[in-house]
Amino acid sequence: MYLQETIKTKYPPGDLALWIFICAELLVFGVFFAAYAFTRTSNIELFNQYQATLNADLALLNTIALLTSSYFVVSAIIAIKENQQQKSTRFLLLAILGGITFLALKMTEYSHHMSEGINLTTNLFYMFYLSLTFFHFMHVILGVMILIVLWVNTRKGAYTATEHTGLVSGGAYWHMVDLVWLILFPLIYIMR
Amino acid sequence: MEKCYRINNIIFTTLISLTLFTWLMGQTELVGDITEKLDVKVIFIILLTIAVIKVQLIGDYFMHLNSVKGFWRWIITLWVTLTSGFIAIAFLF
Repeated sequence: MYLQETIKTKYPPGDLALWIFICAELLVFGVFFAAYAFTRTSNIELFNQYQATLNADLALLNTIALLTSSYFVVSAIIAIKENQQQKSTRFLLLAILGGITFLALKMTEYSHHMSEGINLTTNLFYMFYLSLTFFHFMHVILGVMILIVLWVNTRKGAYTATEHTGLVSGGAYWHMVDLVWLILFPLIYIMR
Repeated sequence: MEKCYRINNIIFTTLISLTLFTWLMGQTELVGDITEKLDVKVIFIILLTIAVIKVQLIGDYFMHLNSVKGFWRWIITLWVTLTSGFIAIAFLF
């Protein structure tokens, strides 16, 4: 029972080493977010001015793509716990499509910025915007690669109702990528 | 297992609804009348609170930390509290 186990465990589901890695990643993103917020305090006008040039509609679609992808990963884990490999495989494929949609939308955004000659040296806001979002972008690429490996393994029948640690661990990494974006989205695109 | 899927659907719908609300708060031309009446700091607090709730939902229900006890139960809560705390200090003071 993935969502409603009554017996509480001492360690999170999946590989503990991966959870330590997730903590390290969250710490780095947390420092980045704090740096953005504190740098903004002495450049409020500049940050507000250039934040308005970003495409919040595309960011909304990106958020929906990531959330939908995470939803399908959870569904894939529930399916594997029912020993339904085929169903799980289908859910994982949909999760991969969500990740690829995010990457495609983000590349559209980056190509638009590049066509306008915007780069890391344009100004302080764009330095943070490009660094933060590209750092996250790289994590999404890694996450999609992990999802593809999970999909291949599930197709091969590597996970069962009793043994699916790899699937749960990979899913936890993907959710981490998702929850980081949930802070990044309002912080960079919406908050003024 | 049907209940698991149902809970998953509820959490997903909540996350999407909160995301749409966040985006709407940024669309001043759409909700200008409302946002103009609210202080910018009030809007910031609403947006940050929504982000914290969403992160907590992911941690509890998608990462399944609601079935864990002790230190690991609170790892995402600790991270989002510290991160949002620093962001709030920077934006509000």
